Amino acid sequence: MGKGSIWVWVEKSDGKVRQASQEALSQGRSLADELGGPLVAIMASPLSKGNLEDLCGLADRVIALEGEGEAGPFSVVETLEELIRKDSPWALLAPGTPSTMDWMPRLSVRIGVDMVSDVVGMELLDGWRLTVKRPVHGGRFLVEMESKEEGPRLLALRPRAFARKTGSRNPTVDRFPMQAGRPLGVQVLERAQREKGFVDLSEARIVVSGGRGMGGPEAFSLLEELASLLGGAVGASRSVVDSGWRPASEQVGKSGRSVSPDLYMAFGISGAIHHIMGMDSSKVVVAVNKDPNALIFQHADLGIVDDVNHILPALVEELKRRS
Amino acid sequence: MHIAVLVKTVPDSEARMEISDGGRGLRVDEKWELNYFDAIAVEKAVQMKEAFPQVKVTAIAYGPSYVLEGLRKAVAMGADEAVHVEGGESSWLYPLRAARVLSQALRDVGFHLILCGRKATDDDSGQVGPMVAEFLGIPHVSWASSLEWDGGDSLVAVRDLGDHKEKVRFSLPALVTAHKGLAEPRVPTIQGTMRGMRMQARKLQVAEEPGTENWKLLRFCEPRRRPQIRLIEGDDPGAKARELVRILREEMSLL
Repeated sequence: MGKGSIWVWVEKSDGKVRQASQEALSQGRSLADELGGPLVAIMASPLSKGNLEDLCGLADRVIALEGEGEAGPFSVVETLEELIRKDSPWALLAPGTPSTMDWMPRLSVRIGVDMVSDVVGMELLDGWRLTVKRPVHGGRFLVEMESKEEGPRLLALRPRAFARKTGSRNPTVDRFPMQAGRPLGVQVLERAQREKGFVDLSEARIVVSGGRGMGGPEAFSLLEELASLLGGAVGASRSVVDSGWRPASEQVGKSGRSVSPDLYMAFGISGAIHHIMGMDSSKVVVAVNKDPNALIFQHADLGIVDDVNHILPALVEELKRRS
Repeated sequence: MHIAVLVKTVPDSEARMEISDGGRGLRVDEKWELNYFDAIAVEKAVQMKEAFPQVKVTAIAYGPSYVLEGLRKAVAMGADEAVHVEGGESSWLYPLRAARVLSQALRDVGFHLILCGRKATDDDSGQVGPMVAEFLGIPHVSWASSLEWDGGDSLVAVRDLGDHKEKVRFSLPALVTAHKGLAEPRVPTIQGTMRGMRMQARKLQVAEEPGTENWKLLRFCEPRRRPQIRLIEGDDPGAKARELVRILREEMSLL
């Protein structure tokens, strides 16, 4: 397979390839083209026809990992270690989701090379020197790092940081057994999926968030309606989560999730630094707040100074009228 | 039951920071705090100690002298002992090195359960927990938003993974990374704060191998600055909402 091969770990949920994996495939394709090597997609069986289509014609080869039961982090580590030792890829890219962050650090220890998480930019200089960019201190700065030549480069890519592309390749499919993994004694008792139509915060194209200015938990039903009209996800500020108005999984900010959607709408959020750290990398930010001095306006592209409880219903109505 | 908690000291979110050395460094105001997710881990450990008197809690930090700040906070919150692994000037950016050093320290200190935050708010890498577990050859459970222990040999945790939740059972020794919801960090009492101030951290030397990383730091830079905000005016909320939708749809093609 050669030294210039780029591997991409492809994640599925509900049997479908996730968008963040398609972004990693797209970025992997660019790297493979520049290096002149193949792009290899690695994913767990079973492979449906739809799964292969979801690779968007980007991969030259698919390695389907076959095994019993579900691929836990320990068997993924075991399997990838074996594959890497056999084929020495130039780089292994994965979507920076919680599940990747469960196995990739362990793999990094296994093969003795550092990994870089939350990568938001990547460039190949002189055809072989890889530099990556990632945010630090909650996005207040970016750090740029260059890879040394040894070892496969392990990279977890921030969801939504890289554009999706398509190609016209028909990948060959090889099978490889999923290793059992050391019996590390973590037993899954139950798994609760969120309801259908749920859009994960970090993968959402549009995030609509509410803060204290919403007035109370009831007001969030309008925000949910707005999110579903826009195909987006609902987010919340820390104080809203701390008050028990919304679940912790929706919290955006330093102590919650970091998001980079195309559009971030902040309703009744004052813009404390804690919050800004989780959303400042959004492409377009809209802020609605009745306080004209709210800090959020310093981090927004578009602003409306008004009560969210007047603007939100008007917004929902306007979107319904236009749809 | 010995719980070891890994605590990182990070710049306070209000601390002034600027790029220095022509991009090669970050100058930070001397304002430090215990990493938020590690504070959750400390709180959980102290709660377990309060429920079961046989529990001992040791806080462990790696880095230059400023990491004593985080250790003091952990002791103020109720940790029994503090261990300071000296060194690591630039280790905040290199999780693999930090994990290697911390796992060696943990072998020395001993543990049944290791708790730490799911990530630190300075480098945002989220790697050290699972890496330490791998170095020590023990299981880890990440993103724990709940952890139950009845004093027996196994624990039950809930992992909050955004698009789904997972309930797992595991036995000791193990490492758990703390996510929001696991516990709400307490404000130390005055007695606790005094205890933290008087704290004598046990010093530990572990051999480091700086410079062996596969990545070298090129530079720090500022993120893209947002242009001046455009305020949307209108006679009433309806007019403002219509104008916002028009801009987002027609000018920005976002809707």
